Amino acid sequence: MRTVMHLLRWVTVGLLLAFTLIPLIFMLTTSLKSPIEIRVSGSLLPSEGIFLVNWERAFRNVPLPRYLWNSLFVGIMSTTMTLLVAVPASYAIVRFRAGGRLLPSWILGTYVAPPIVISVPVFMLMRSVGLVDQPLGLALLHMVANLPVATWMLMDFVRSLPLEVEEAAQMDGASHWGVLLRIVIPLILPGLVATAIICLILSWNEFLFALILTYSLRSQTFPIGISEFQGEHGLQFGEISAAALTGIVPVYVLAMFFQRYLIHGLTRGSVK
Amino acid sequence: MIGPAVLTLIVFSLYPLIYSIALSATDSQLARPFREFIAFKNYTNAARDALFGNSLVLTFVYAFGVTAIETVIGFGLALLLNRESGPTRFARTLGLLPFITPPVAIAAIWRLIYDPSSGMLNHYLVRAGILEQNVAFLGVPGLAMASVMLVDIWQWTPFVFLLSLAVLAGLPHEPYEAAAVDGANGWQQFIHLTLPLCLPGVLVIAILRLIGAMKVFDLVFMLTFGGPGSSTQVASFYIYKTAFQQFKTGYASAMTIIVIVILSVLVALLTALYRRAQAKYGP
Amino acid sequence: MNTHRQMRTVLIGALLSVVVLNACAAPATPSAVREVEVTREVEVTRQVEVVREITVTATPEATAPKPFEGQSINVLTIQPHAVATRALAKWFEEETGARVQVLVVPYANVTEKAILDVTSGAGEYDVIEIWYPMLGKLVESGVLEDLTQWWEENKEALQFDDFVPSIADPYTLIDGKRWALPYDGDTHLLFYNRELLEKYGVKPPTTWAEYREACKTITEQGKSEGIYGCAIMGAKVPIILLSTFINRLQGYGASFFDADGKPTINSPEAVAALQELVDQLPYALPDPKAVAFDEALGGFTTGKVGMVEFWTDLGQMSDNPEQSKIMKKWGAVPMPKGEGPNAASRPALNAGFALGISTLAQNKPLAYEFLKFVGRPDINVRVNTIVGGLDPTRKSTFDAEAYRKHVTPELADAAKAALSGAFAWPTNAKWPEMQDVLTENVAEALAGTKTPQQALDDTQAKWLEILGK
Repeated sequence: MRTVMHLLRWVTVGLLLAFTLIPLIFMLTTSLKSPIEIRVSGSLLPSEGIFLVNWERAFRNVPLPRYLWNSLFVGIMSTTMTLLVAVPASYAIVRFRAGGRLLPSWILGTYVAPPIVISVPVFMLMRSVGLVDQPLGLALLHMVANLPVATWMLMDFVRSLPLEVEEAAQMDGASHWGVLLRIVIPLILPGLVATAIICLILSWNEFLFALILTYSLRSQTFPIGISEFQGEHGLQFGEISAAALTGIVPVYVLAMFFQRYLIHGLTRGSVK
Repeated sequence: MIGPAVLTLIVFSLYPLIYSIALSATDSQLARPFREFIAFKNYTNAARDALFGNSLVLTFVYAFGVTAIETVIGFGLALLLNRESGPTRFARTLGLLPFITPPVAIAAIWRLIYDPSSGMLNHYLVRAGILEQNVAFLGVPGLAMASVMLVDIWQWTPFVFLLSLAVLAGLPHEPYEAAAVDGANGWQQFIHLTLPLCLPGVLVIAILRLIGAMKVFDLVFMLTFGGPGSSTQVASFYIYKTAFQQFKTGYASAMTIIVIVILSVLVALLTALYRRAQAKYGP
Repeated sequence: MNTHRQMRTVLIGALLSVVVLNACAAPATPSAVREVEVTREVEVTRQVEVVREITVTATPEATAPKPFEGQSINVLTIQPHAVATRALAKWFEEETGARVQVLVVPYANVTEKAILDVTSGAGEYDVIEIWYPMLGKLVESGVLEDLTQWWEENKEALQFDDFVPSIADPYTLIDGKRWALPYDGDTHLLFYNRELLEKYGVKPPTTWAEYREACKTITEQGKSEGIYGCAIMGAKVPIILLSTFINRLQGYGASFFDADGKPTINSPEAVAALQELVDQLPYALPDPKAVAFDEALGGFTTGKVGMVEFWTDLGQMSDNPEQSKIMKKWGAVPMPKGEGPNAASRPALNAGFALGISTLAQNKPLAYEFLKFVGRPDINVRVNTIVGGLDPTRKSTFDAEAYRKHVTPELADAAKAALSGAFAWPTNAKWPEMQDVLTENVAEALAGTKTPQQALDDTQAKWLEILGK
């Protein structure tokens, strides 16, 4: 029975991983196919040999490092700002009912608005403070966009903490901030890290605000750079694939690095 | 502690919201905001606009469909990989990859996969004898919707997966220790402990995902542009077309406000559900 | 633990490399940005021509005075024209000493970017690229400078009469005033794969009915091997779907408006044209509703498709060994005719772009100077002999030896003939809205959710409402 369950488990995981990975492997092999083979054949593996021409061109035609740098800058800035705002807010909301029921609903409410029309007044706002075509302006907007996700996830993590530890610390005379910094944050670290990764990736991939708010290489992010491969002669599938894979690497390394903090206590609560 | 959050909300949500409400009462164009006060005419027009109604229906089908599937797969996968060993750790990081891929590249690679004449899916399905001839996955109403949803599921399941892992990581020890003392087996523990304990957290994830899916825009923009016919024309895309292709920002604002109201009601219902789950199963 | 340390090393390495990369790119001054952009021109081997031309002309200019030294402008261009616009910027810099920053956006977003820039008062753009059917909307929106006076002063120097007459007015004229300079002349030809047509015993069609029959013949025999008679771009993107529809609309001699400006989009000719399109669908590369630029291009250049209506530079792409399996095996003919009393072989001005000056341009004199430079006949030849994304707007360019050599004389003649007789899309301020309604309804007709008659009746009703008639 145990081995059957075990087998079933790995078959399920294997199938889901295949679904996840095949498009990405296809992306990798597409980047290594000759441009004509990309058009002709839907085969997963290149059949006419390996070509590096897409990679060469991806880097020559579009200043990818610059876009990646902007994205990294905007992503890290916005994630930091998001957490700085969301962590104390979620703690106060859960433990002190700060803002009553209105505040959490209001925060989530900002998430329901389709961003297209909203982008017009936001553009005007950013222009009036001189943050159009500035990485900081884009980071600020990403912070606003990701705040609901971060706050609501963190609220749930804080809520699931046992109260006793915090109360003990407060008895010892720790301030609210002291409790938050020394007790709560270490305890919700897995959740905090997951939230940070999510915010970083959401910012990394955000397209609409980046398109509307940026003009030049000064602030254009990676998704805008990727869209440059749509030329007069159509989508350059091989070059897009090469560029996208390049962009995946830094975020993947970052996510992998932080994911070890997720591991705390992961062995509990699973089907044995 | 809530100061920065409140300040952010006032500046970045109240102002655009008031601006949009004001726009929605006028016959505005992108270049000529607040042109002529027409009160509720945009709203009555929206109520009569069959395409807008159609887009709302499609949005609901899309959002509930992908959220349900993503939540089940994402949470299930988190359960399966919620243990410490070399392979699971490796599988965990791989599972994140689609979410890291830029949407423009996602759309490009899936267009190659779905391509009617030389796509990968047709290539292998025809060879395996599952399909008799090539199928235009993005060219047939209904099928196109399902195809776009599949890409969404591919892209966003990692979001649910990652956050589910964090929810599982936050589960308390004590109930499990007690259950082990009582001699409960793994399955019983799962049904009576893990599932109820995770429910509030998973509900939050599902709510966030549902709202995100309700706003889906980029995949439609890059894969189908709302076609064939109007079979993938979800609300966000219809609003985009109205605001930036027709430049009728007044009308687009009115539709945005309608979407906000509908979604707010929906979210209020879901958060009430969340509060009940929280009260029943929370610590 | 060990893996943790490894990961940290990798991470630190990654961060360090980013910092180093930034050190190279930063500070984010225009000059740094510009350097990055310039290197982009030196692209693919096929763009070697750009480089060669630059070196040739740089020498004589070196001694000339440079009146705009130290000044700069921003030029908004669409992604498909990025290479050409950057080349022009470079040449202009060499001649005048001015600095031109080329700001690129996806073609689908160019109009909203321009309007938002001016409406918000940002004024970042000096020169703006215009998809010509949007001209009326941009003028109404107050985005464009009135160039009437400037054209009066420069008519001789810029040889206005040399622009292909069919595009000169549609690209520039709104309400009797001129607002722009023609930049990219685009139209369709019917391309065919000579080998496939011969194999299946089909001749290049001259009417849409013949086209349908030819497509049917090839598809019925070739389908099992993945060969189709034709590819029809029916994806629901205005610039794609309406090009396909308007090609047929012209063939049947239908028009958008009557002499009094009243819409006539549900005329019998228009309905017949849409019916013909719907009738062609079953034989085309499946499924036309999912076929856009890339699918059609790929289908044709890989030899899977017998015929395709496409922009004139498909010829060059078909002769590019890197993306084509049909080198020298293709031909092109004018658009087929429809049926009925008004039938004619008449292509449409599908796509096509002009340059204008922003009302908020921060350096208007330099913006005018840039337009004057781009408008020069010799520059038109020069920019059209690199693979940069543009097509000629001048008669003299079509006749220029360099251009004819570049694209082959046959294609130059065919493109010139097509462009000269081409029919323009409307450009009035209401057109963006009307165009969207038409796209929506034609897409419904293709999807079978409306009959052609119904689709165009609905369009007509909506158009009357939009125009307030």
